[in-house]
Amino acid sequence: MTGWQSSAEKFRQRFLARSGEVLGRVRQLLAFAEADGLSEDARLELTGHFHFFAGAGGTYGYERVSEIGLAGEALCEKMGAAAACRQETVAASLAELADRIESELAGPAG
Amino acid sequence: MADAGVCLKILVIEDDRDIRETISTCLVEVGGFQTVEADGGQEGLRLALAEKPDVILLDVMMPTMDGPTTLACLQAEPRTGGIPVIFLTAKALTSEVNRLKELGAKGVLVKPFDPLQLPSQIEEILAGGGQ
Repeated sequence: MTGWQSSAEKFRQRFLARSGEVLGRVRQLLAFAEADGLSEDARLELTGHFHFFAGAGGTYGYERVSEIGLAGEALCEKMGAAAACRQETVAASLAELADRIESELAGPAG
Repeated sequence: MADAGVCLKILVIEDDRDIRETISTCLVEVGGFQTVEADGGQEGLRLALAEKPDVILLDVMMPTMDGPTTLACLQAEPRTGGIPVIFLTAKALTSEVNRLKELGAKGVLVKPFDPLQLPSQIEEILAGGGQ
């Protein structure tokens, strides 16, 4: 394994570990959204988490994670414009995206 | 990759530690460049003055001082105003890329980036091609 390959593997492992933590927090925020709706600060935090997947996934070999993250980021922005009663629907869609991210990360890197 | 005897010094300004270290490591190990790292705009401004980098790689979305504000500060300081700046953004929209270039950036690179391609993309932008 070359110097860079070894470094890339280390960074990929670090990305996977962090992704697990981020997905945990995403699911927590989505549970809040479905129960009571999200505050603007919480919605921005959620947007930031999907932004993380959008910006980082492909760098570590998970191109699909970047695509799903981008879709999640757009949905989070939509959530900001939605009435509180509609947040629940958007949250359900975001939960599906979180599941897809988890599934992609369980597979091999590209 | 960098020509023999020409080792570019690149200042990487990125708030996300993992991304910053990935960028810096691939620029050193794949591109043969020298790097300096800053975790935000303020630190970036300080290091731009102290280290006199050949080029600055600047993240757009950062807390406290974002990329465009950092670029404006770099441009306002005579000692750093001439350093080429390349933005890193997660928004690939043409309108966003054009907006960033209009601010005076030498180029714009879109995240996610391919670490194996990043060094040559930077060289291409510096040579006057690329985005």
